[in-house]
Amino acid sequence: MVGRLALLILFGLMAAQPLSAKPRCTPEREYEPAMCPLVLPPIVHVAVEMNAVKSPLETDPSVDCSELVVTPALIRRYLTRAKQVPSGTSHSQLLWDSCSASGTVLFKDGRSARWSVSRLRVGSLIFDGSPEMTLYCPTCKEKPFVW
Amino acid sequence: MRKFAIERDAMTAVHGIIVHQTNSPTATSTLNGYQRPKANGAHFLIDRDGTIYQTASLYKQTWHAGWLKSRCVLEKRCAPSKFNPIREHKREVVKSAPDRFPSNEDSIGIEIVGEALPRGTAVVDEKKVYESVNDAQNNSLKWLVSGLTTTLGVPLHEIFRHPTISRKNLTEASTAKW
Repeated sequence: MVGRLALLILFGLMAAQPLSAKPRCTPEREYEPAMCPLVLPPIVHVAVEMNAVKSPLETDPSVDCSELVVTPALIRRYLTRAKQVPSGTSHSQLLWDSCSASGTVLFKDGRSARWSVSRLRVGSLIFDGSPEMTLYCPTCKEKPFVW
Repeated sequence: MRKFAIERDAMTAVHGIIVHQTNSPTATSTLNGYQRPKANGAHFLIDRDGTIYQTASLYKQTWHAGWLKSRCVLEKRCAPSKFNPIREHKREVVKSAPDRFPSNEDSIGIEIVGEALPRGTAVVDEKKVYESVNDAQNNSLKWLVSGLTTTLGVPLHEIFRHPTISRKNLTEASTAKW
């Protein structure tokens, strides 16, 4: 009985190991940033506040952001699939876009955050009082994203 | 000072110079980042006080240019196609310079310490503005560019701010002067 219990504890510890281990991040590549798993609590509600917003920095009148219209369901899928780009590594590989959508997300643990996404699948997530998290979702291949 | 973690394949020709800003608060934070395995980085780093660090050999490529924009579209020699920066880059990289912009393969990168601000706020990246390049940094940039263009035979019209050649925050290096 004691042996079986010890075995159960051992298996339990092994199963728990990945949770405490260092996150499995992919290394930087020439055209892709390092990416780490994005661990978020379950999402309760997503609100889209602004769609198709053109950056005030954009001076090219031909840039048209009207196609960047996202839904709460799309953002939910985005946040589920996106990876976190470690701070300081995103500068050269991620594409900057002058079109964005933004809003808020409420999590099951009661916390909320502000999100934003661009057409090029680059996003951000900001919890109150925490540094901005840069996100990238290479597997989010659905419109209105461009890939 | 040379940080070999950012050096890649041999660079056999230099066709241009790309001027960047680091989007980091200090030279130290950038230099620390250059020690990560397979880190991206540029050949030179100019600190806030104008100190120039050489961070990679000029005989080696570094990953600093990123995805290329279409040069012929910007120079109005061809018509723009439907917005797709990834396909645009794939069409560009198979061209030879100067039909395309200088790339990782054939350009020197110069980073200037400076951040896109405000940092860590709810302001989306699309609205952040890079801080101005200061006089000490611009003086060093002029001196460095002068030396590089003379030594490597790079014409002045082949020196670009990063957002000119790649889809980057439009204010990056906008106040850099050389």
